[in-house]
Amino acid sequence: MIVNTGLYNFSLDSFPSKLSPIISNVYADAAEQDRPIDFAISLRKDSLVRRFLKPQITFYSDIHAPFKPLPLSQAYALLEWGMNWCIAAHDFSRLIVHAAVLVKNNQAIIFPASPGSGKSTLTAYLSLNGWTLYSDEMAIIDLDNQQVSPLYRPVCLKNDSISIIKALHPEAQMTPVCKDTQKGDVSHLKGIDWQNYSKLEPVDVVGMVFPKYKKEMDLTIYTCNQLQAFEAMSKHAFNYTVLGQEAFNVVGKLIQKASLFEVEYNSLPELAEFLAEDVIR
Amino acid sequence: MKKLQHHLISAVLLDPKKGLNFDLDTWQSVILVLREEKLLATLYHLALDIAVFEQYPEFAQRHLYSASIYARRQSKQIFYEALLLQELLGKNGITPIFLKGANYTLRGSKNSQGRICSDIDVLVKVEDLDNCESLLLSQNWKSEKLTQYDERYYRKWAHEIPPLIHPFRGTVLDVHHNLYLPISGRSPKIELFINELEFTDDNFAVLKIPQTVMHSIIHLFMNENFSSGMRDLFDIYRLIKAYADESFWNELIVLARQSNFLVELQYCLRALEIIFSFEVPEYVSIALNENQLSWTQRIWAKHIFVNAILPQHPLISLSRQSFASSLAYFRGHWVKMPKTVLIKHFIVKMYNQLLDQVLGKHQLDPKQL
Repeated sequence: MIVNTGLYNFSLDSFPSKLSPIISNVYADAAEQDRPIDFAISLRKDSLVRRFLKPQITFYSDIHAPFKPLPLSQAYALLEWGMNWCIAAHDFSRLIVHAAVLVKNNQAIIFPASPGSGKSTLTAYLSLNGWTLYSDEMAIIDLDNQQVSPLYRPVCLKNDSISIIKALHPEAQMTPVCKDTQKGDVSHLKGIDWQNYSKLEPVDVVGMVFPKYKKEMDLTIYTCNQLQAFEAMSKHAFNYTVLGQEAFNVVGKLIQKASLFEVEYNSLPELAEFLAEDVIR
Repeated sequence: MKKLQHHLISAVLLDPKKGLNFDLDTWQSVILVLREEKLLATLYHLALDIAVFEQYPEFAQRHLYSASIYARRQSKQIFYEALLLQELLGKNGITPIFLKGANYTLRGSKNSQGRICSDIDVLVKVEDLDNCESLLLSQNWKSEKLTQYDERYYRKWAHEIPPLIHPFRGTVLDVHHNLYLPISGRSPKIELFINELEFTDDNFAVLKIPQTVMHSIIHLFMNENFSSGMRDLFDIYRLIKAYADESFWNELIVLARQSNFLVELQYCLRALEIIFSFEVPEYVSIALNENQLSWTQRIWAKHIFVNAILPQHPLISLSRQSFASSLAYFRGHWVKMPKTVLIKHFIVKMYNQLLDQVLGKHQLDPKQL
């Protein structure tokens, strides 16, 4: 089966048949393009006894397994994380930052991932409320013009955010919940369809926002200084140390062009309004 | 996905122009195989050198270029670590001698361009080993977590420090005091290799070229793991192509004789002939004439090692290769250890493997329980 994520083409050569409908739900509309595959991957059950007793599943990137097996019930999450790994471990032609990217009026805002930021909830919410989902996990940034490219991937929702988004958007297309993973309960939300995705182009980054979800706190906005933003971006870039000087330059240019904010929030609509009116130009 | 003919990989390495005739299906498979063989970035530099890179399809260019960036970073890291090591050990009167990948990179030989190494290997004198270990530990280097069994394997049988890892930089360092395991009874007199050293432009100590090549041969043909065999043999090929003259060959043959690795030298020449169509100079064949391989050794040379070295990838491999690899794996252990130790070692490894197969990998990992 071909899993086309837009920028990267995967060939998934063996996987538990139960996953078939889930993968189809997320990726089937991505037309099988007539282009070569970048990564050969598979999900395999390894051990004989473990097929019956606490069955496990291993992710393979071509012929080796970069991480330990997980319980079979987490197979879909493992597939998504495995694909992230393939991209982060092999693509050094662009800066790849652990961050969400959302776009309005052809202008992108980057939300670097920090634990407790509520990044994925925000990403899911925005993608269901008029914003274009460019990426939930990885900001793919061009080294020459610092534009960010879209990636055809779902949003990875965790724990409470699964029910929050379900309550707000019962129509949202979500994968069955994988329970008790390293990140807690996990479900993937389809935030864009192929028809819309295929029209997207790389766009400029106008803002970098560091959200913090605080239950008791009304929307509070702080401007963030360039040094803090630089530190956060370089820390969250998967391939920063490999790219070295080039990464330093790209991050430097990005933070000079973008407006930088730290926000504390407890209401998604209020935050969305601020982003649309004050960050998007 | 398109299956590849074996000779295609060596053909494109020997002559990157061949890539101009590949269709995209072929490129797709070539990229996957080269990635697993750690040779993607090597092809990038080879193609660049003869100015065909720009004519490759965009797909191939993207993957080759990307791999080269990673290799570039590794090369910088090697220089950086070498500088720190040189300073730390030098202050204490120890000269680290850089081996294998670090040797190639620091001396800047052509084969180092785009080469990916998993660790840095250095050689110190046996009497400096303890001092060297405590100096490194004082600079935050840590022993990699090993099972009790593996720790004992290193200390007792290999007479080596277990690999050290730097937790901030992620570098892995292997400190040796010989080029081959002392317990095997085959470790060469180290003086043959280090009495005369070469110093790079940046003043790093490395083995001289014949010694470098001899060590690469020992490393490849006296080992059990051939997973990077194609890359390692190609290193030897390119070193010979770049540096071999008559005095090189004479020194190499004398060194092989004195260190008792003449057979391995001939295995290597045979593999070079078969895989990279290397033409052994006539005077070399003549010099080796009186030490011809026995018929069993000839079978090993032609059928076992060659198959173990050729890439083993589902898109390319032949069924006889996995048999060859198992034999080569067994021989690698056989030559390494006295037989009583070997048998114990195999029993422990087989028991662990059996557990893995039955219960699944990592079943003994505390996190999984």
